Amino acid sequence: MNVPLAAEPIAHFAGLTITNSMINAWIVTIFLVLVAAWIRFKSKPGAPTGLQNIMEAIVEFFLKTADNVTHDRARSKKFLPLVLTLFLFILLNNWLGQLPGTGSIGFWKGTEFVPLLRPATSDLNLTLALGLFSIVCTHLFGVVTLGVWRHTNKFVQIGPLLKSFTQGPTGLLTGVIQFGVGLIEMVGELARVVSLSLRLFGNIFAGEVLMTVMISLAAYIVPLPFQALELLVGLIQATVFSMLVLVFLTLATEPPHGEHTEHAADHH
Amino acid sequence: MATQTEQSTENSGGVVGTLGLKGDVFLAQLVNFLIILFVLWRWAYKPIVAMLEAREKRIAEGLANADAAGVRLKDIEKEHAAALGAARVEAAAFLQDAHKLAEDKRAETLEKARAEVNKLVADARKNIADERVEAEKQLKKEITALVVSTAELVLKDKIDAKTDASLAEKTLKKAKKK
Repeated sequence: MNVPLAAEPIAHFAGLTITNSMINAWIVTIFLVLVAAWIRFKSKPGAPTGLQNIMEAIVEFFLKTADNVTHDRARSKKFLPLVLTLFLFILLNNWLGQLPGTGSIGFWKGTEFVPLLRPATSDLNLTLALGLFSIVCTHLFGVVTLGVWRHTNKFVQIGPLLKSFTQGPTGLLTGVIQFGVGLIEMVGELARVVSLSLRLFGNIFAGEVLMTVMISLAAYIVPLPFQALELLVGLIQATVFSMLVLVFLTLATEPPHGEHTEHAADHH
Repeated sequence: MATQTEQSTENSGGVVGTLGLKGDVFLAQLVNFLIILFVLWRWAYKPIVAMLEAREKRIAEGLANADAAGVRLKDIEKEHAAALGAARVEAAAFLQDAHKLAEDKRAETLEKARAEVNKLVADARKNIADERVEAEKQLKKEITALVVSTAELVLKDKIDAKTDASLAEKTLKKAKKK
Protein backbone atom coordinates (compact mmCIF):
# COMPACT_ATOMS: atom_id res chain seq x y z
CA MET A 1 0.00 0.00 0.00
CA ASN A 2 1.32 3.38 -0.96
CA VAL A 3 -0.20 6.84 -1.12
CA PRO A 4 2.15 9.02 -3.15
CA LEU A 5 2.50 12.68 -2.21
CA ALA A 6 1.79 13.74 -5.78
CA ALA A 7 -1.46 13.07 -7.58
CA GLU A 8 -1.06 10.36 -10.20
CA PRO A 9 -1.52 11.26 -13.86
CA ILE A 10 -4.40 9.38 -15.47
CA ALA A 11 -4.30 10.73 -19.01
CA HIS A 12 -2.94 13.51 -21.16
CA PHE A 13 -5.24 15.74 -23.15
CA ALA A 14 -4.03 18.52 -25.45
CA GLY A 15 -0.80 18.87 -23.54
CA LEU A 16 -2.56 18.94 -20.17
CA THR A 17 -1.87 16.25 -17.62
CA ILE A 18 -5.12 14.97 -16.15
CA THR A 19 -4.54 13.67 -12.64
CA ASN A 20 -6.87 11.61 -10.46
CA SER A 21 -7.31 14.54 -8.04
CA MET A 22 -8.49 16.68 -10.96
CA ILE A 23 -11.26 14.18 -11.67
CA ASN A 24 -12.48 14.54 -8.09
CA ALA A 25 -12.35 18.32 -8.40
CA TRP A 26 -14.41 18.10 -11.61
CA ILE A 27 -17.03 15.91 -9.91
CA VAL A 28 -17.40 18.54 -7.18
CA THR A 29 -17.43 21.29 -9.81
CA ILE A 30 -20.21 19.61 -11.78
CA PHE A 31 -22.20 19.04 -8.59
CA LEU A 32 -21.88 22.66 -7.47
CA VAL A 33 -22.67 23.97 -10.95
CA LEU A 34 -25.83 21.83 -10.99
CA VAL A 35 -26.81 23.17 -7.56
CA ALA A 36 -26.20 26.74 -8.77
CA ALA A 37 -28.22 26.07 -11.94
CA TRP A 38 -31.07 24.66 -9.87
CA ILE A 39 -31.07 27.76 -7.67
CA ARG A 40 -30.88 30.04 -10.73
CA PHE A 41 -33.69 28.42 -12.71
CA LYS A 42 -35.92 26.66 -10.19
CA SER A 43 -35.93 28.81 -7.07
CA LYS A 44 -39.01 30.86 -6.23
CA PRO A 45 -39.21 34.06 -4.22
CA GLY A 46 -41.97 32.71 -1.94
CA ALA A 47 -41.57 30.28 0.94
CA PRO A 48 -38.44 28.22 0.16
CA THR A 49 -38.46 24.42 0.05
CA GLY A 50 -35.91 21.65 -0.44
CA LEU A 51 -32.56 22.58 -1.95
CA GLN A 52 -33.40 26.28 -2.05
CA ASN A 53 -34.13 26.15 1.68
CA ILE A 54 -30.79 24.44 2.37
CA MET A 55 -28.83 26.95 0.28
CA GLU A 56 -30.66 29.89 1.85
CA ALA A 57 -29.90 28.51 5.32
CA ILE A 58 -26.21 28.11 4.39
CA VAL A 59 -25.98 31.64 2.96
CA GLU A 60 -27.81 33.14 5.94
CA PHE A 61 -25.65 31.22 8.41
CA PHE A 62 -22.52 32.37 6.59
CA LEU A 63 -23.64 36.01 6.59
CA LYS A 64 -24.36 35.86 10.33
CA THR A 65 -21.03 34.18 11.09
CA ALA A 66 -19.14 36.58 8.81
CA ASP A 67 -20.80 39.54 10.55
CA ASN A 68 -19.05 38.47 13.77
CA VAL A 69 -15.70 38.88 12.01
CA THR A 70 -16.36 41.86 9.73
CA HIS A 71 -18.88 43.71 11.97
CA ASP A 72 -20.33 45.03 8.74
CA ARG A 73 -23.07 43.35 6.65
CA ALA A 74 -21.94 45.11 3.46
CA ARG A 75 -18.44 43.65 3.76
CA SER A 76 -19.85 40.22 4.66
CA LYS A 77 -21.87 40.30 1.45
CA LYS A 78 -18.78 41.32 -0.54
CA PHE A 79 -16.74 38.42 0.86
CA LEU A 80 -19.60 35.90 0.57
CA PRO A 81 -18.86 34.56 -2.94
CA LEU A 82 -15.17 33.85 -2.36
CA VAL A 83 -15.33 32.55 1.22
CA LEU A 84 -18.46 30.44 0.91
CA THR A 85 -17.29 28.94 -2.40
CA LEU A 86 -13.98 28.06 -0.77
CA PHE A 87 -15.83 26.43 2.12
CA LEU A 88 -18.24 24.42 -0.04
CA PHE A 89 -15.58 23.38 -2.55
CA ILE A 90 -13.07 22.27 0.09
CA LEU A 91 -15.72 20.55 2.24
CA LEU A 92 -17.19 18.57 -0.66
CA ASN A 93 -13.73 17.62 -1.90
CA ASN A 94 -12.71 16.45 1.58
CA TRP A 95 -15.88 14.43 2.02
CA LEU A 96 -15.81 13.02 -1.50
CA GLY A 97 -12.57 11.29 -0.51
CA GLN A 98 -14.52 9.28 2.06
CA LEU A 99 -16.93 7.82 -0.48
CA PRO A 100 -16.31 4.20 -1.51
CA GLY A 101 -14.39 4.08 -4.77
CA THR A 102 -11.95 6.87 -4.01
CA GLY A 103 -8.56 5.20 -3.84
CA SER A 104 -9.98 1.75 -4.59
CA ILE A 105 -11.22 2.00 -8.19
CA GLY A 106 -8.33 2.30 -10.59
CA PHE A 107 -6.01 0.43 -12.88
CA TRP A 108 -2.63 -1.25 -12.73
CA LYS A 109 0.27 0.54 -14.33
CA GLY A 110 2.93 -2.10 -14.38
CA THR A 111 3.22 -3.21 -10.78
CA GLU A 112 1.71 -0.02 -9.41
CA PHE A 113 -2.02 0.49 -8.74
CA VAL A 114 -3.21 3.89 -9.89
CA PRO A 115 -6.57 4.97 -8.38
CA LEU A 116 -8.93 6.88 -10.64
CA LEU A 117 -10.16 9.11 -7.84
CA ARG A 118 -8.15 10.93 -5.20
CA PRO A 119 -9.38 13.69 -2.88
CA ALA A 120 -8.58 16.92 -4.70
CA THR A 121 -7.51 18.59 -1.47
CA SER A 122 -4.80 15.96 -0.98
CA ASP A 123 -3.10 17.45 -4.05
CA LEU A 124 -0.88 20.44 -3.33
CA ASN A 125 -1.63 21.88 -6.77
CA LEU A 126 -5.21 22.55 -5.76
CA THR A 127 -4.55 23.72 -2.21
CA LEU A 128 -1.78 26.03 -3.38
CA ALA A 129 -4.02 27.38 -6.15
CA LEU A 130 -6.75 28.07 -3.57
CA GLY A 131 -4.32 29.61 -1.07
CA LEU A 132 -2.58 31.81 -3.63
CA PHE A 133 -5.82 32.93 -5.22
CA SER A 134 -7.32 33.74 -1.80
CA ILE A 135 -4.34 35.85 -0.73
CA VAL A 136 -4.29 37.64 -4.10
CA CYS A 137 -8.00 38.33 -3.59
CA THR A 138 -7.38 39.80 -0.12
CA HIS A 139 -4.94 42.27 -1.71
CA LEU A 140 -7.37 43.08 -4.52
CA PHE A 141 -10.09 43.79 -1.98
CA GLY A 142 -7.61 45.86 0.03
CA VAL A 143 -6.64 47.95 -3.00
CA VAL A 144 -10.26 48.46 -4.07
CA THR A 145 -11.38 49.42 -0.56
CA LEU A 146 -8.43 51.51 0.64
CA GLY A 147 -6.81 52.58 -2.61
CA VAL A 148 -3.39 51.59 -3.97
CA TRP A 149 -1.36 54.04 -1.84
CA ARG A 150 -2.91 53.23 1.53
CA HIS A 151 -2.88 49.49 0.89
CA THR A 152 0.72 49.46 -0.36
CA ASN A 153 1.79 51.49 2.66
CA LYS A 154 0.80 48.57 4.88
CA PHE A 155 3.81 46.73 3.46
CA VAL A 156 6.15 49.31 1.96
CA GLN A 157 5.67 52.01 4.54
CA ILE A 158 7.10 54.93 2.58
CA GLY A 159 4.48 57.40 3.85
CA PRO A 160 5.26 56.96 7.57
CA LEU A 161 9.01 56.88 6.79
CA LEU A 162 8.88 60.23 4.96
CA LYS A 163 6.79 61.68 7.77
CA SER A 164 9.29 60.46 10.38
CA PHE A 165 12.03 62.68 8.94
CA THR A 166 10.20 65.67 10.39
CA GLN A 167 9.80 64.10 13.84
CA GLY A 168 13.37 64.08 15.13
CA PRO A 169 15.68 61.15 15.79
CA THR A 170 13.14 59.07 17.79
CA GLY A 171 10.50 59.55 15.12
CA LEU A 172 13.02 58.61 12.46
CA LEU A 173 13.92 55.45 14.37
CA THR A 174 10.24 54.54 14.66
CA GLY A 175 9.79 55.19 10.95
CA VAL A 176 12.69 52.93 10.05
CA ILE A 177 11.40 50.20 12.38
CA GLN A 178 7.92 50.54 10.86
CA PHE A 179 9.43 50.24 7.39
CA GLY A 180 11.16 47.04 8.47
CA VAL A 181 7.92 45.71 10.00
CA GLY A 182 6.20 46.41 6.70
CA LEU A 183 8.76 44.31 4.87
CA ILE A 184 8.25 41.49 7.40
CA GLU A 185 4.50 41.76 6.70
CA MET A 186 5.30 41.03 3.05
CA VAL A 187 7.03 37.84 4.08
CA GLY A 188 4.02 37.15 6.30
CA GLU A 189 1.78 37.30 3.24
CA LEU A 190 3.86 34.63 1.55
CA ALA A 191 3.74 32.58 4.75
CA ARG A 192 -0.05 32.83 4.66
CA VAL A 193 -0.15 31.25 1.21
CA VAL A 194 2.18 28.46 2.30
CA SER A 195 0.42 27.83 5.61
CA LEU A 196 -3.07 27.85 4.08
CA SER A 197 -2.17 25.42 1.32
CA LEU A 198 0.10 23.12 3.35
CA ARG A 199 -2.32 22.89 6.30
CA LEU A 200 -5.19 21.73 4.11
CA PHE A 201 -3.01 19.46 1.98
CA GLY A 202 -1.25 17.99 5.04
CA ASN A 203 -4.44 17.22 6.94
CA ILE A 204 -6.31 15.61 4.08
CA PHE A 205 -3.27 13.75 2.79
CA ALA A 206 -2.55 12.47 6.29
CA GLY A 207 -6.18 11.36 6.52
CA GLU A 208 -5.82 9.47 3.25
CA VAL A 209 -2.67 7.75 4.49
CA LEU A 210 -4.37 6.93 7.79
CA MET A 211 -7.41 5.45 6.03
CA THR A 212 -5.22 3.42 3.64
CA VAL A 213 -3.25 2.03 6.55
CA MET A 214 -6.37 1.24 8.58
CA ILE A 215 -8.10 -0.47 5.65
CA SER A 216 -4.96 -2.53 4.94
CA LEU A 217 -4.89 -3.60 8.61
CA ALA A 218 -8.60 -4.43 8.98
CA ALA A 219 -11.01 -3.89 6.12
CA TYR A 220 -14.28 -4.08 8.10
CA ILE A 221 -15.67 -2.13 11.10
CA VAL A 222 -12.28 -0.98 12.43
CA PRO A 223 -11.83 1.93 9.97
CA LEU A 224 -15.34 3.29 10.73
CA PRO A 225 -14.38 5.50 13.74
CA PHE A 226 -11.45 6.83 11.74
CA GLN A 227 -13.74 7.51 8.80
CA ALA A 228 -16.06 9.47 11.14
CA LEU A 229 -13.02 11.35 12.36
CA GLU A 230 -12.04 12.10 8.77
CA LEU A 231 -15.50 13.56 8.09
CA LEU A 232 -14.95 15.83 11.08
CA VAL A 233 -11.44 16.74 9.90
CA GLY A 234 -12.87 17.54 6.46
CA LEU A 235 -15.40 19.93 8.01
CA ILE A 236 -12.85 21.50 10.35
CA GLN A 237 -10.27 22.05 7.60
CA ALA A 238 -12.86 23.60 5.27
CA THR A 239 -13.97 25.89 8.12
CA VAL A 240 -10.40 26.80 9.10
CA PHE A 241 -9.40 27.63 5.52
CA SER A 242 -12.46 29.73 4.76
CA MET A 243 -12.50 31.49 8.15
CA LEU A 244 -8.82 32.40 7.83
CA VAL A 245 -9.45 33.83 4.37
CA LEU A 246 -12.39 35.78 5.82
CA VAL A 247 -10.15 37.18 8.57
CA PHE A 248 -7.43 38.07 6.02
CA LEU A 249 -10.04 39.78 3.84
CA THR A 250 -11.35 41.74 6.82
CA LEU A 251 -7.84 42.80 7.85
CA ALA A 252 -6.96 43.78 4.29
CA THR A 253 -10.01 46.04 3.99
CA GLU A 254 -9.37 47.80 7.30
CA PRO A 255 -7.33 51.02 7.47
CA PRO A 256 -3.60 50.58 8.30
CA HIS A 257 -2.43 50.51 11.94
CA GLY A 258 -2.25 53.87 13.64
CA GLU A 259 -4.29 55.61 10.96
CA HIS A 260 -7.27 56.03 13.30
CA THR A 261 -5.16 57.57 16.04
CA GLU A 262 -3.35 59.80 13.57
CA HIS A 263 -6.64 61.05 12.18
CA ALA A 264 -7.97 61.56 15.69
CA ALA A 265 -4.83 63.53 16.58
CA ASP A 266 -5.24 65.62 13.41
CA HIS A 267 -8.79 66.48 14.39
CA HIS A 268 -7.69 67.59 17.86
CA MET B 1 6.90 1.60 -4.35
CA ALA B 2 6.44 4.85 -6.18
CA THR B 3 5.79 4.73 -9.90
CA GLN B 4 8.38 5.53 -12.45
CA THR B 5 6.57 8.73 -13.35
CA GLU B 6 6.69 9.95 -9.79
CA GLN B 7 10.28 8.96 -9.44
CA SER B 8 11.18 10.88 -12.55
CA THR B 9 9.17 13.87 -11.27
CA GLU B 10 10.82 13.71 -7.92
CA ASN B 11 14.21 13.45 -9.52
CA SER B 12 13.59 16.31 -11.92
CA GLY B 13 11.70 18.76 -9.67
CA GLY B 14 13.33 18.54 -6.24
CA VAL B 15 11.00 19.41 -3.33
CA VAL B 16 8.43 20.96 -5.64
CA GLY B 17 8.46 17.83 -7.77
CA THR B 18 8.17 15.58 -4.71
CA LEU B 19 5.06 17.44 -3.63
CA GLY B 20 3.66 16.97 -7.14
CA LEU B 21 3.53 20.63 -8.08
CA LYS B 22 3.07 21.02 -11.82
CA GLY B 23 2.30 24.23 -13.61
CA ASP B 24 -0.41 22.91 -15.92
CA VAL B 25 -2.19 20.98 -13.14
CA PHE B 26 -1.95 24.01 -10.85
CA LEU B 27 -3.47 26.23 -13.54
CA ALA B 28 -6.17 23.70 -14.36
CA GLN B 29 -7.20 23.45 -10.69
CA LEU B 30 -7.20 27.26 -10.39
CA VAL B 31 -9.38 27.66 -13.50
CA ASN B 32 -11.65 24.93 -12.17
CA PHE B 33 -12.13 26.83 -8.93
CA LEU B 34 -12.67 30.13 -10.77
CA ILE B 35 -15.47 28.51 -12.78
CA ILE B 36 -17.23 27.34 -9.61
CA LEU B 37 -16.68 30.71 -7.99
CA PHE B 38 -18.19 32.55 -10.95
CA VAL B 39 -21.13 30.17 -11.44
CA LEU B 40 -22.03 30.04 -7.74
CA TRP B 41 -21.68 33.79 -7.43
CA ARG B 42 -23.91 34.62 -10.40
CA TRP B 43 -26.45 31.78 -10.17
CA ALA B 44 -26.65 30.96 -6.49
CA TYR B 45 -25.42 33.67 -4.11
CA LYS B 46 -26.80 36.70 -5.97
CA PRO B 47 -30.40 35.45 -6.28
CA ILE B 48 -30.34 33.96 -2.77
CA VAL B 49 -29.05 37.15 -1.15
CA ALA B 50 -31.58 39.16 -3.15
CA MET B 51 -34.38 36.82 -2.08
CA LEU B 52 -33.26 36.89 1.56
CA GLU B 53 -33.15 40.67 1.55
CA ALA B 54 -36.55 40.91 -0.16
CA ARG B 55 -38.01 38.49 2.36
CA GLU B 56 -36.41 40.34 5.27
CA LYS B 57 -37.90 43.57 3.94
CA ARG B 58 -41.32 41.98 3.54
CA ILE B 59 -41.21 40.57 7.06
CA ALA B 60 -40.13 43.94 8.46
CA GLU B 61 -42.95 45.63 6.53
CA GLY B 62 -45.40 42.99 7.73
CA LEU B 63 -44.35 43.53 11.33
CA ALA B 64 -44.57 47.29 10.94
CA ASN B 65 -48.03 46.90 9.39
CA ALA B 66 -49.09 44.63 12.23
CA ASP B 67 -47.88 47.22 14.76
CA ALA B 68 -49.70 49.98 12.87
CA ALA B 69 -52.83 47.83 12.73
CA GLY B 70 -52.59 47.27 16.48
CA VAL B 71 -52.30 50.99 17.14
CA ARG B 72 -55.18 51.68 14.73
CA LEU B 73 -57.29 49.04 16.46
CA LYS B 74 -56.66 50.68 19.82
CA ASP B 75 -57.57 54.07 18.33
CA ILE B 76 -60.73 52.60 16.85
CA GLU B 77 -61.62 51.03 20.19
CA LYS B 78 -61.11 54.37 21.88
CA GLU B 79 -63.19 56.14 19.22
CA HIS B 80 -65.84 53.47 19.56
CA ALA B 81 -65.95 53.84 23.32
CA ALA B 82 -66.13 57.63 23.01
CA ALA B 83 -68.91 57.39 20.41
CA LEU B 84 -70.78 54.92 22.58
CA GLY B 85 -70.49 57.25 25.59
CA ALA B 86 -71.71 60.22 23.58
CA ALA B 87 -74.59 58.14 22.21
CA ARG B 88 -75.53 57.08 25.73
CA VAL B 89 -75.58 60.68 26.93
CA GLU B 90 -77.60 61.73 23.90
CA ALA B 91 -80.01 58.84 24.36
CA ALA B 92 -80.47 59.77 28.02
CA ALA B 93 -81.21 63.37 26.99
CA PHE B 94 -83.69 62.13 24.37
CA LEU B 95 -85.35 59.92 26.93
CA GLN B 96 -85.66 62.78 29.37
CA ASP B 97 -87.12 65.00 26.67
CA ALA B 98 -89.53 62.24 25.70
CA HIS B 99 -90.60 61.84 29.34
CA LYS B 100 -91.14 65.54 29.66
CA LEU B 101 -93.04 65.68 26.39
CA ALA B 102 -95.22 62.76 27.41
CA GLU B 103 -95.89 64.40 30.77
CA ASP B 104 -96.83 67.68 29.11
CA LYS B 105 -99.03 65.86 26.63
CA ARG B 106 -100.72 63.96 29.40
CA ALA B 107 -101.36 67.12 31.37
CA GLU B 108 -102.67 68.87 28.29
CA THR B 109 -104.94 65.96 27.41
CA LEU B 110 -106.21 65.85 30.96
CA GLU B 111 -106.87 69.55 30.92
CA LYS B 112 -108.72 69.28 27.66
CA ALA B 113 -110.79 66.40 28.92
CA ARG B 114 -111.62 68.31 32.06
CA ALA B 115 -112.71 71.35 30.04
CA GLU B 116 -114.76 69.10 27.78
CA VAL B 117 -116.45 67.51 30.72
CA ASN B 118 -117.15 70.89 32.29
CA LYS B 119 -118.58 72.12 29.02
CA LEU B 120 -120.76 69.03 28.74
CA VAL B 121 -121.96 69.49 32.28
CA ALA B 122 -122.73 73.15 31.64
CA ASP B 123 -124.56 72.26 28.45
CA ALA B 124 -126.54 69.62 30.25
CA ARG B 125 -127.45 72.05 32.98
CA LYS B 126 -128.54 74.63 30.46
CA ASN B 127 -130.61 72.02 28.64
CA ILE B 128 -132.24 70.97 31.86
CA ALA B 129 -133.04 74.60 32.72
CA ASP B 130 -134.45 75.22 29.27
CA GLU B 131 -136.55 72.10 29.44
CA ARG B 132 -137.78 73.11 32.82
CA VAL B 133 -138.87 76.54 31.53
CA GLU B 134 -140.52 74.87 28.57
CA ALA B 135 -142.31 72.42 30.82
CA GLU B 136 -143.48 75.19 33.06
CA LYS B 137 -144.83 77.06 30.05
CA GLN B 138 -146.57 73.91 28.84
CA LEU B 139 -148.01 73.30 32.26
CA LYS B 140 -149.21 76.82 32.58
CA LYS B 141 -150.95 76.54 29.24
CA GLU B 142 -152.57 73.30 30.10
CA ILE B 143 -153.69 74.49 33.51
CA THR B 144 -155.15 77.63 31.94
CA ALA B 145 -157.13 75.52 29.49
CA LEU B 146 -158.26 73.29 32.32
CA VAL B 147 -159.39 76.21 34.44
CA VAL B 148 -161.27 77.71 31.54
CA SER B 149 -163.04 74.51 30.79
CA THR B 150 -163.78 73.99 34.47
CA ALA B 151 -165.17 77.49 34.83
CA GLU B 152 -167.30 76.99 31.78
CA LEU B 153 -168.72 73.97 33.35
CA VAL B 154 -169.36 75.73 36.69
CA LEU B 155 -170.90 78.87 35.35
CA LYS B 156 -172.78 77.15 32.59
CA ASP B 157 -173.21 80.27 30.71
CA LYS B 158 -170.70 82.06 28.66
CA ILE B 159 -169.00 85.21 29.84
CA ASP B 160 -167.20 87.57 27.57
CA ALA B 161 -163.71 87.00 26.60
CA LYS B 162 -162.38 89.78 28.74
CA THR B 163 -163.90 88.46 31.90
CA ASP B 164 -162.81 85.02 30.96
CA ALA B 165 -159.24 86.06 30.68
CA SER B 166 -159.12 87.89 34.00
CA LEU B 167 -160.85 85.02 35.72
CA ALA B 168 -158.34 82.64 34.30
CA GLU B 169 -155.51 84.89 35.48
CA LYS B 170 -156.88 84.94 38.97
CA THR B 171 -157.32 81.21 39.05
CA LEU B 172 -153.81 80.73 37.83
CA LYS B 173 -152.33 82.95 40.50
CA LYS B 174 -154.26 81.07 43.11
CA ALA B 175 -152.99 77.83 41.70
CA LYS B 176 -149.43 79.21 41.78
CA LYS B 177 -149.77 80.29 45.34
CA LYS B 178 -150.89 76.84 46.27
